[in-house]
Formats: sequence, structure tokens, C-alpha cells
Amino acid sequence: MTTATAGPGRLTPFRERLPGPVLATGAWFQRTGIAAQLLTLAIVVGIFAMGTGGKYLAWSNVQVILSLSAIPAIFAVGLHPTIVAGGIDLSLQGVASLIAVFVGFLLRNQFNSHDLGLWIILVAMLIGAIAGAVNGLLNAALRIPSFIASLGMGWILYGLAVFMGKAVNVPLLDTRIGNFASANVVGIPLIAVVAAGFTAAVQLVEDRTRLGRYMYAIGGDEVIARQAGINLGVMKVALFTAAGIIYGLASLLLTCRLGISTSRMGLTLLFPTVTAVAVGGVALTGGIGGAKNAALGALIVTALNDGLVLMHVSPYIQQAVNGVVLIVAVALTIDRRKLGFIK
Amino acid sequence: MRRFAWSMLLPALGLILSVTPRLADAAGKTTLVVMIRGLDNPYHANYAVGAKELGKKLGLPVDVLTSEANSQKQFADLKAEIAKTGGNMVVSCDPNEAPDVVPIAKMLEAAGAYWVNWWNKPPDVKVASYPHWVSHVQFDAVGQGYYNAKELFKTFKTPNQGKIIAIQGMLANNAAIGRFQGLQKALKENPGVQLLQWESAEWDTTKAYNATKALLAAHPDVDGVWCANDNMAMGAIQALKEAGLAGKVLVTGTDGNPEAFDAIKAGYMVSTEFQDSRYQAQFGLTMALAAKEGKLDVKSLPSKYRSWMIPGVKVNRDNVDKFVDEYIKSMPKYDLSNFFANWAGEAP
Amino acid sequence: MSTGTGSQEAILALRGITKTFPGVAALDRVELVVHRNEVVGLVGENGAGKSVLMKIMIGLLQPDEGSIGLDGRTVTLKSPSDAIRSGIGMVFQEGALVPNLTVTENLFLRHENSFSKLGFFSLRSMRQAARELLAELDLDIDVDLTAADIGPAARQMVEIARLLWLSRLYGRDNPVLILDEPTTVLADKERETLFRIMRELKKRASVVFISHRLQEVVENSDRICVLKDGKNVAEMGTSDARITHIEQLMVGHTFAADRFHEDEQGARTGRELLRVENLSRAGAFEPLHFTIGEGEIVGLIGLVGSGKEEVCRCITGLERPDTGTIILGGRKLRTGSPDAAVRAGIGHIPIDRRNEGLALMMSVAQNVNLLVLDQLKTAGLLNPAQERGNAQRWVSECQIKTPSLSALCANLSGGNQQKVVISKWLSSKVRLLILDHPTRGVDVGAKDEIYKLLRRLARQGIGMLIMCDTLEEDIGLSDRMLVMKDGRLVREVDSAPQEKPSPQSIITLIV
Repeated sequence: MTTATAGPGRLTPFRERLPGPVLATGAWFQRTGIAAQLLTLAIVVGIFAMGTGGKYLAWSNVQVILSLSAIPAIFAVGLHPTIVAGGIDLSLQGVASLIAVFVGFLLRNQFNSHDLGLWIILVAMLIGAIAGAVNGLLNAALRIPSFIASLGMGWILYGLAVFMGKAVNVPLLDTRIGNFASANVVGIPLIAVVAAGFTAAVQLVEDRTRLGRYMYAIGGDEVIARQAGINLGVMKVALFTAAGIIYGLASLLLTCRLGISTSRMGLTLLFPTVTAVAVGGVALTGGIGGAKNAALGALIVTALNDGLVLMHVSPYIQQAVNGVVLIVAVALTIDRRKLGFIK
Repeated sequence: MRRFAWSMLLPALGLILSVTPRLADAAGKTTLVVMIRGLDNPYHANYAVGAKELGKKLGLPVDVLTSEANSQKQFADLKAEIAKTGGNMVVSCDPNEAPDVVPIAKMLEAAGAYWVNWWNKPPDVKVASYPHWVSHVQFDAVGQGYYNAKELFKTFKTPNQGKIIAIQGMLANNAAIGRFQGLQKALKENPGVQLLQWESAEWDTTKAYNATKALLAAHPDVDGVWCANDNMAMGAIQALKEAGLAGKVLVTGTDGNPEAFDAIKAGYMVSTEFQDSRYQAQFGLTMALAAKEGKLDVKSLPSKYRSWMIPGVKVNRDNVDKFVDEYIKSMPKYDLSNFFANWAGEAP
Repeated sequence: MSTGTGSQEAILALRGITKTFPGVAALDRVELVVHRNEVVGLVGENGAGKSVLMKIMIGLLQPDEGSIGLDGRTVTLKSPSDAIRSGIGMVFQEGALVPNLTVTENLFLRHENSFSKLGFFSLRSMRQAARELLAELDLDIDVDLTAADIGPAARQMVEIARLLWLSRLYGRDNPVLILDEPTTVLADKERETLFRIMRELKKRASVVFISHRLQEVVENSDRICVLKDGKNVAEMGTSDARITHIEQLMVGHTFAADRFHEDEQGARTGRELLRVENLSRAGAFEPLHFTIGEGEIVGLIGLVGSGKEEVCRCITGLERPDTGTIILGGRKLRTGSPDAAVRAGIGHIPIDRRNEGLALMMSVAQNVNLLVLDQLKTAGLLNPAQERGNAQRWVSECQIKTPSLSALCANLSGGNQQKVVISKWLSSKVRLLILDHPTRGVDVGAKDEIYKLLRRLARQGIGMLIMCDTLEEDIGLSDRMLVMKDGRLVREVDSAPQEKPSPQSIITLIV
């Protein structure tokens, strides 16, 4: 790929002969790089298909994988813009728990008379947006590193959720969204279709709008992006707010699918989401990776864990496997040139 | 020079402030202290409820220390509490991890505070080594797992013949270990029942949902799901609902969360065992107070009364309505006169 | 060789520009006039005011006095966007492309609106426009590659193309493009491409060409402006420009015809310092032998790919040779270990001093003392007084211009940074120095000081293996030269003072 020997700005002769659209697709693939991820998925599927004597490929199991990966995929799509822009949003535990508590409070339940119905969707998005905007402002206006700001916000929101939820688990009586989340359409879990569509929409925004383009620019080199006239503050707030909204939607879906609002809901979400994003090929150093990377990463992680269960791998080892996967994924994707020193 | 003076001012102020309540408390009322995991869990939150009611009844202040599943925070909070009360306190403690009891015991021994421990303790640590450690009490976790397993087996098409999957709690917790042992005991007694596979969901609803869904895909023809607690049972029920099996394949838990009783009434869940943490808190604090006031001579207690077990309240489809009326819709008046009335066996 | 003069219409006229910073008069009534279709060379030492003038030209700074006239009208440039809209743009030395964006995306960054419908832009039309834009300049660059992939030469071209496009977008017919040291990162062939582009550009734009390399400025500009100490000292057409004259104007004193201080080139003591026997590395260079004596400066000459860089890397321990031995001062050196090389007394002045030679975020004193911390301790702990003493000594000896010992190295000029690197090694009693393009990016005045420093080091008995930017520098500084070609040491050439070989004779050996 380097052109040092082939002259400035020119590809090797082989690639020169490929037709334009193929080259363009290739370059597109290269930037968002899902070739490696598709290969990984194929390997994972292959290993488990063999290891379980084909049971892994049974349609019922594939349905489970698609169904279980959909919501993590949406969370991952929510997390990745802030990472691509060079920061990170670790507040999702808090946002998820807070949304869960609000859902338990506002949807029809046995403890109070609220019955918000489908308006809860807007409420979830609004809460997520506000949380995200605060994160963005802390990062952009007060210049607090996003790692710290979002982590702190996450705990603040979690504490708020616990305080509001008063440790009561609220079963949800309004099951419309829950049913939507568990339904199948022509045998394919509806929620997986929704997740795929959502991913595609976000990917479109990343490829073809200024918001997406500037996100990559900021992630590539913040100083140059600013010199080019991109307003860093507005962009960062926008990206964090978008992340918050997406978390809100995903949390709503998750709470409804569980059928019960628990204030602890967010606690187990952060690690798998970060792993999904890293495995998908989104570099933690920024500038690389799109929505499809994040979603694909979630699919791979879910497929992996499902396979481990199917193969009766000891639960003690399963967590360790996830840890190893995260380390390997990050090691392979980060751009070490960007790390002045490894902290 | 000025900067030096200012920098000395704050620590001096802090010193004065920390000593003042000490002087006040040392002469004054005993503080009732409960140490729990966190207020986000209904079971743990009820420790605080029970303690506060007792405090109101006796006219004593109550402090709630939450560890947030962090052992270090637990120790730090306890140290601060000891400093604040000057040792004029009694503690009912549910430690984060079993090994935590040793530092806690030492701290409270040094502070001269009586205390009662719930649930987690390493088997080789002897309560008798610490004169201020009144008792270690745990629920009969083995009994809980056993009872729920037996109830579950009864629901199979052919009772006591079938296949189950199990969802365990945090694998290092005494409760998780004990309950799973109970399950195994029930399995041994009923060779017609087979445990196909188990996963750990760490007491979490979402994880239990994911695990159950995956296990159901691996074993579509199970007859029952044994869960180590109610939170996880809720997740399992949801997964069963999506697979169209809820009500046909039943679930068990433990803890006695309100939604569990609804699930039992609705026919998705078989049984649970209610652990009344309000009772636990009041019991523990009352016992420690008795020791402090000299009404209970700790040194003369035999070892079986220093480390022992009590039963929970078994709830299943037969008695759920009555139970809800008595225990959930109100807080029963607890008879704390004879501490050992419910003694159910010695604990290691 | 001079190019024809352009038309006489002034497109950009800066008159009476004065800018003062606290305590420093950076620019004092400076004038710069750029005509249509003209290349103006701007030269001057570091600190002469070039960068301040440029920043004013593109709107990053406001002049305290003076005016900027664009096509006859006075304008105020409050920001780089203002400047771009007025048709003035600059290609910075560090490059201003986002590395992970493609050429297309970089070309139109911030101006995607020209290609969008309903908020979504068309990738196809952007790529098409990009290809057409590059074709205008006859540039062969793949628009789908990322900026990081295409190499520094292509990146500069893309920036130039972007500036042209932007000025067209704003309806400016003769933009002024400022190129800041564009040739520093280019190889020879790439430089030719750049100069060709400049000639192309002249047809529809004007260029302000800033460079340290006076030869290329003279060859490619129509006029030259010389700045010194914030003032204009001269302006001339290039047809009658002589490089030595320009240098003199830049530093204010006459350079000895002997710029490399050959009169200080001493007779060698004859004692052998370094002996390299049968050294080879697969794929890089074949077995070779040479020696370096104490106080001898040996130039290592060859094209890129001749193997000279790898030879140096083997001596400094960064790479392990496949065969052969390196003997320093009679003791065999453990290969493949930079640590062993340093302890044996081999120092390395790397080509990329900012990243490899200095800890930029540490102070001058800290960098100078870096290798000798053990000697500056009392009772096991670093002694600040000793640290200061050591640093002060070398700052004086090497004449490092720094506001203080605790100034960050990042804030020093290139020449002074290089001197800090050299002092770091001197402080550690180095015996053999490997110098990789030691005066790259250093202005004329500092270059002279470095040459004098090297001569002094030679007098002290330190041996040096040197690779220089120009053949003249190699010939002038060396006592002896080792000529490498295609991985083989083909010739040893003596370069005694008064008997220096000509560059032409050497060139025939290396190509």
C-alpha cells in the first residue's frame, strides 16, 4: 500500500488496473476496514460450528445470536462516534440505569398510575440527549478529558438512578415495546433488523454528511481540523449528545425486553460495549471505524460468547476469554504513533 | 510563612471537627450501624429499613454504610464510622466478600464495638477468637437451594424426572456456593433429574436473561430452570417468555423480591425463599446491643451459638397469598426475645 | 539560472509592516510586493522575521502598523479564512492534511456544501472533482488514498491543489500561494516535481517561496527578498543574484570563502579509533572494511539505497549486522545493542532530532545531562547544583542560544536544538560520533557555528562519521570519504584541505 517505490500518490500497478468503483469500494472498506472483522466472524463461526457438531449453525441458535447481539450493537453504535473523534464516552452505565428507572416510573406499572405509552421513546431520547450534552460540554467547554468527564457523569447518573429507583424492581405492564423487541419477522428477530437498519442509517450519516466527515477529521488530527475551520466545541457536544440519544433508545429497548425495570441495569453493559467497539475495528486512538464496525464487533462478541456456552466452556474461563479478546483487539487496532507515551 | 499557616489551618480544623462528635458520642447514644452492599438492591436496602425502624423504636441514631461491592470502600467507611462514634456503636454487617470479615473483626475489636456478621465468612476464621464478635449468622443456603430444587422437580411432567439448567450467582459468594450445593444434594437424591449445564449470571437480571437464552438454544427441551436468586429468575422468565416456554418451564429463585411473588402467582415461578433483611438487621443489632449492655454474656456462649444458621420463609404457590399479606404488605413485629429460638444448625 | 520575470502588476503589496512583541521588534517597516504570475523567493535566517511576516500575510497575526494591499485595495485579514477568501493561502512546513482522510476528503474539507443535496453530499461528484483538479496540475495522485498513505511530496501537492480550488471558489483569479520550506522533506526527484508545479502555478497564480536552500531559491524564483533582523535588506531579480552575496546579506558578515573551515581541518594523529571488518547485512550492504582515526571526520557518501544508512545503524547498535566485527578503541563492540554502543562511547546525532534526538518537553539542562546523570549525584541523589553546572558548561562551550537552562527544548530554534543534541553526547565523553544530516533544517548562521563545533571536536580527538545534506558539505567537512553504491563500498577518496575533490568527480562514483 505504500507508494514510496511507485511514485508519489500512485498505487502499485496491480491496483491501478482495477476499475474505479472497485477501487472506491476497496478504499471505503479500507478506511472502515470490515474485511478483517468479516474474516474474524467467519473464523469464529467456523470454529464453533465444528466444535458443536453443527449445532451452532442451527437456525434457532442463529436467531438467538442475532437477537442477543442487536441491543449491544446499538449501544456500540452509540459509543463509537466519541471514540472515532478521539475521546470516549463511558457514561453508558449511568444513562442506561437512569433510563431503566424512568421507564419503570413512567410506563404503566403496578406502583403508580403513570401510563406514558409510546411517548416513553421521546423521553428516553431526551434524557439521553441531556446526559450526552452535559458530557460534551464538560469536555469541550471545561476541557475535562472525556474519559474522566464521562466516567464521572456515568456514576452521577447511576447514583441518581438508584436514588430515584429506591431499589425496587418494577415489572412493566405495558408490554408493547417489549413485544416489539422480542418479535420475529419471517423468522428473523425483528430487533436485529432494526439494529441493522439503524446501523446503516448512522453509517450513511458518517459517510455523507458534514457531521460524519468532521468526526473523522477531528479524530485524525484535532489541530489541523481546527485550522481548517471546524468548530471543535460544537462538534464534540453534538457527538456526545448523539451518543446519549442512542444510549437512551438502546436502554429503553433493553428495559422493555427484560420486562422489568431494575436500577442496576447499566452495570454490566460497559465492558461488553467497549469490547464490541474495539473488536469491530474502531481504533481507540481515533479516526478509524464506522457504525458498521461497531455493530459487527457486537455481533462477533455475541457469537463468540454464545459459542462458548454451547461448547460448555467453563463460565470461569468465559470472562477471561472476553478479557483476552479485548486486549488483542485494542493491540491490533490502535495507532501507536498517536500515543506519545503509553500510559 | 503565610502559606504555611494556611496549610496548617485546614488539618487543624479537621482534627477539631473529628474529635468533637467523638466527645459527644462517647458520652451519648449508641449508634446502630448496618453495613450493606448498596441501596440499589431491594434485599440490601431492606437491611436499612429494618435498622431505621429499630432506631426509631429505641430512640437511637442509625448509620448505613454501603460498600458498592467494593471491599476497600467498606473498610474505609467503617474506619470513618469508628472515628465518628468513638466506638460507641453496634454493627450488623453483611460483608462484601468472605475474607473481608477478618479486617472488620480486627477494627471492631480495637474499637470495642460489638457486632453480628451475616452470610459471608471463611470457614477457617473462628468467631470465638474475637470477643466482640457476638455471632456469625447465615441463612441455610444449602437448605435454600435444596428446597427450591425439590419444588422445581415436583413440577415436571413426570415429577422428579427431567432435565434442568441452572443459573448461578457470583461464584465466590457463600450464598451462591451454598445454594448450588443444595441443588446438587437434591440432584443426588433424584437421579432421574439431570443438570445439563450451568452458567453464572452474577446475580444480574440482564446477564441471566442472556445466559438463559443461550442455554435454551443449546438445550431446547429443558423442564425447569433453577436460579440462585430472584433477580436472575426474572431474567430467566423473560427469556422463557420469548421462547414461548414461560408457564410450561418453571423457574425458582431465592431472596423473596416482591416481583417474585407476582411471578409465583402468575404461574411462571415455582418458589422462592424469603430472607427478611429487615429482620436480620433488627436481630443483629438487638443481639449486639444486648452484648454491649451486659445482658448477653458472649464469652459463655458455646461455639454452636457463635456461628450458626437460620431458615428463611419458604414461599411457594400454596402459601404465597398469605405470605404477601403478612410479610410484604406490612412489616411484622419481630420477636427478638430469644435469640436462639430459630437456631437451625451450626455453621462452619 | 533564472526564470523570466512575470508581469509587473502587483497583486499583493505589504507596506510598512511593523509588528512588536513584548521586548522584541519582530518586524520593522517591512515591505513585500508580489506581482501577478511571479515567484518571489523569501530568505532570511531564523529570527529574521519570515514566520511573523507570513503569519501576517495569512491573517494569523495583525500588524501593528502598515497596510496590506490586494489588487490595489487595502484589506484587513482577521483570520486565515479571511486570507483564503482574499486568495492568499499557505502550505505549512508540517503539513495541514488530516492523515486518515482521503485526498478527496482533504481537498474539500469544510466546503463539502458545494457537493451536497439535502444535507448529504455525493461522494461520486466529489471524487470526480478531485480528479479533475489534480489533472489540471498534471498530478498523478490517487484520490482515494488517505493522506497518510501518499507520502510528503504528494501531500504538498494536494495542499497546493486545495488552495487553488479554494481561491477559485472565492472567485480569486490570481491567488498568492506561500510555500514554507517545501523542499525540506522531499527527495531529489520529488523536488523536481515541485519546481515543475511551481512553473505551472505561475501561469495562474503567484508563489512566495521560502527556503533555506539558496541555490534552489535562485533557480526557481523571479525575484528574491532578503530579510534580516526584521528589516528588508535587499531585493533583487534572480538573474543577477549570487549566492555568496545573499548569504552575506542574511548574516551580515562575509563568510570566508571557506565556509567549511577547511583551514581548521587538522592533520590526523594517526591513531586508530574505529575499525570495521567484514561487516555486512543481508539486503542492505555487502562485506566492507574501513577505519576511522581519532579526530578524523569521515564522510559516508551514496544515494538513498546505497546502504550507508544501514552501516550507521549497525555501528550505533540500532541494527545487528549479519557478519563482521566492530572494534572501538581496541575493544570489540557488542552489536545490536544501542546501550552497548553508548557505553562504549559511540554517540548518534539522528536525522530526526525532534523525535529521536531530544526530549522536547524537557529542558535544555535535562537534555544535556541526560547521559551523565550518574556523575551528577551526591549520596545517590541528583544534585541540582551539579546538574546546572554541567549544563551551563556545555551551553557556553557550544554557544547554545537559550533564554535559560530550564527553557524547553521545543522552544529553541533548529540550530540550537542540534547543538543541545551534540552537547548531550559531548557531556558523556563520547569518542565516536555518527552524524546523520547534522545541519538539516538549520539556518546559515547556525550551520556555521555547527561546522566550527565539529572542527573543535575533531581537534579534541573525537572521530566522526558523517552523512550530509549536500555533496559540498560532505567534501568540505571530511578528511576522507567512503563512497557507497548499491550496497558496496566502492572507493575511499581523500579530501585533504587544499586538495578537495570536485563534486562532479564524486557524483560519477555514486550513480
